[in-house]
Amino acid sequence: MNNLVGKTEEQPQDELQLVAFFLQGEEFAVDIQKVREVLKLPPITPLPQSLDFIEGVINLRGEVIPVLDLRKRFRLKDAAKGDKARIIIVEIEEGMVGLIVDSVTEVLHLNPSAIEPPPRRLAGTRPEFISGVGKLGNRLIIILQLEKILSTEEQLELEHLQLAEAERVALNR
Amino acid sequence: MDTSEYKDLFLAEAREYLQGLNIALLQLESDPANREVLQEMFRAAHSLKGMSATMGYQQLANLTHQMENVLDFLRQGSLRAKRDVANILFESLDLLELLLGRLDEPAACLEQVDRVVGKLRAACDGSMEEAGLVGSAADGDTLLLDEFEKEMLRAGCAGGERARHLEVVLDASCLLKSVRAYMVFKLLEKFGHIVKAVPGTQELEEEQFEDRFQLVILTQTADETIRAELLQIAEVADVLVRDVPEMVAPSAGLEPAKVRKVELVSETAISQEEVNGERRNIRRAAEKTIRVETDKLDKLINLVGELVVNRTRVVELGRIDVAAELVSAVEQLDRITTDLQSAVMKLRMVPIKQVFDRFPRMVRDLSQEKGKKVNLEIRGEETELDRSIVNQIGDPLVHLLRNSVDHGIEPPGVRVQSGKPEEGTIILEARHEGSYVLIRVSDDGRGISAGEMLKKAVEKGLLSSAEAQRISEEEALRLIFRNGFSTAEQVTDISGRGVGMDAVKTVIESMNGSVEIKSSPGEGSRFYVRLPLTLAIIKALLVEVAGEIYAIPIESIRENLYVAPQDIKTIRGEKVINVRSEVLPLIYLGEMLGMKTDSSEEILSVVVVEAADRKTGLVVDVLLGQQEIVIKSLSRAVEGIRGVAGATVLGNGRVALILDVSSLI
Repeated sequence: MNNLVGKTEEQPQDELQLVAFFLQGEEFAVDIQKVREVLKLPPITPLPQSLDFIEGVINLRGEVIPVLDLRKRFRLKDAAKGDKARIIIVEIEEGMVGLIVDSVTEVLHLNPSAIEPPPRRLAGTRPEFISGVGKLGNRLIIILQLEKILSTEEQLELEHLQLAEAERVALNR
Repeated sequence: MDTSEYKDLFLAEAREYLQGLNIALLQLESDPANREVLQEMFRAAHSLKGMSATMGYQQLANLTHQMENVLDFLRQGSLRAKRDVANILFESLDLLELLLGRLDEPAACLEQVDRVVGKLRAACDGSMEEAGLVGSAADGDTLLLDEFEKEMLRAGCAGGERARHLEVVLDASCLLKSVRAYMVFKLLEKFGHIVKAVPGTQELEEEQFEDRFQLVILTQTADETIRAELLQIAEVADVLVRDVPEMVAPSAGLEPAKVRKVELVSETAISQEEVNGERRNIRRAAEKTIRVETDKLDKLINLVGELVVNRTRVVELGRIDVAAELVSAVEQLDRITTDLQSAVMKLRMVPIKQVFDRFPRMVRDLSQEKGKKVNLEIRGEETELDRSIVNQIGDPLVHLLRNSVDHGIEPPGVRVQSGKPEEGTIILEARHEGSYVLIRVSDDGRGISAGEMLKKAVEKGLLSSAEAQRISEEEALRLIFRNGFSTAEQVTDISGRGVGMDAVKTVIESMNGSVEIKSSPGEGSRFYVRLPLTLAIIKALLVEVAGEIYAIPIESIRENLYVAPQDIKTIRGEKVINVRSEVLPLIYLGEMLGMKTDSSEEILSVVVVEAADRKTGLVVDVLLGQQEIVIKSLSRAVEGIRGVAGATVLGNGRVALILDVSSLI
């Protein structure tokens, strides 16, 4: 992690810096500003009766931090976690949360002009989780936004309905 | 000046002063002649005024200034602490509290402040009329010349000089007050010499005065010349030149315009002395205590918690290794860590006084409102408890006390008829008992009758009449803590605020505490609240379920049992066991938590837990043993999981969940 962060210092300001990772063959990325560190998988204590995508809690230097499995969150195929699996610790409104991913690749520098708005549905993930799609050479990178990552399906569904309703009202006017 | 960073500090200190004022005022009410208390109140009000003005809280400054005036009159004896005055002061304190809560809205409560300030002014005016003469009474205090100074003045006067009393007023915005004072001194030396300065030269140098100081000089120069010359100095707002009272027979007719001035003079002169004394006190206190942000403290405690956990691990390793030196080093580490832990835990401890202090006022208001006479006796207020418990125990105690005033203590007439003293007594007592704190709330009121409790319970359908027959007296009294039970005939403003006794019990149990009641009709009731000393570290039993380790707080465990399969019976489809003729429902913890378990064990390990008066057997896979654990809250992202109270980190670095027994069973 230290190496990853170290590289970022000299870059021009307007470039976005993202931590890129793989999830079922697709390339994703999150804003480096939200990332605290990247860990190998520590032992995870399961949390009974919690949301299904919550894998459990881990001990990060004395702090108890919830961890969620991004594959489960995005309704991807469940797979055994290999050697390359990592936990990306991110800071969101609710506090620190760990995200389990297949592997972490690098820190990317993206020009904002190379980022396009999100399509409506992509790779089974909900549009709420995506802030855009970045193009780097012939790579397509799905850039995540983490604000709603802990919302339940019901909450998201409700927001959808409200949004659709608002659109309908706007169209009828 | 940007003062926002001092706001929290200001608030904390202001609240302390306010609390002190409340207590002192109560004391004053019962002992109006107590000058020491008055002195203390005056100082507190004065400090509050100063602080508020510095921070730019005009409303607060205005209010406290008027309070200070009233207290000053009380202190001088020109106003008596009658009930109406006390009530005005209580009203001011309430308003102060309100203002402290709304510091960010400077315009809030303007009207109320005006109204209360008006009342305070009126109280002062009344006192002035009572005292008859304002000027002379106040004047006497302004200057106290010792014999040496008087001798100097007499000698000077004999030599053709005149003794003059100067009061120099500086601009309120003056920044370098000591420099201005120095310039005044320098200038006056041209005209004569300075016999006395109030406050003294030392204090003037240290800027320990507000906007004015007084001097006595010997001079031959005319008053007007001196005045004009002094006014040339920048930031000197006004100079008053007067006769020195000791040297001249007091002139009978001071001009009306000056009367007010004189009154102010006396105030500043006296408060100056007091402020100096008080500053010394504060300095002395400052050496003994420092203020630390609770966040920092919590972090330290958290780290020590980690250390304690790791110590356990090292100690265990030390037992395996045979090297004698390592063993003794580990023992040493063990001792030091234990000491460190207890020292750090003490940092979290605060006296329960913080909570108790607000009760005398509450009981006073309440009993007045209810037309009852109640004496609240507080004992053991120095007893120390964990800060987080002190923060939470307030509301349950408020309810118990309200209950005692409202339902326990009878009206004076009834009391006299039943041969009791007219004034009822409520005793609030705290004391240490092992690793617990016991808080007792007892009253000598009408008490609670077990028979009536049972009748009510049956009426409300909480009990069948058959059950009511079997129930013991103790159990009957405990019905008061049941949900949906209230003994009061009508819901009153006081005890009917939605917080029932069941809520009291719930809050106390959530802190791993317990509450008991004892009562005898006609003689009064006693409530016993038992609380752990700390919430941060608890003793817990570690158990294994489906390969995961869980911690069960010892406080809720009654016993551990091994149960053979044939001893498990089924009643209405639910599995139960019979323990000493008590039928306990069984809960398979693994199933309950939704884990896959293969309970192929022949003999079941059962932990008997109790919460909310219900005992239940929890079936676990393995009993691992007892350990001190540090409680960590679960992240907001996953909080509120039923059955889980928090988490802890075990010696091997893994997280174990702490079970919340009351929500499990």
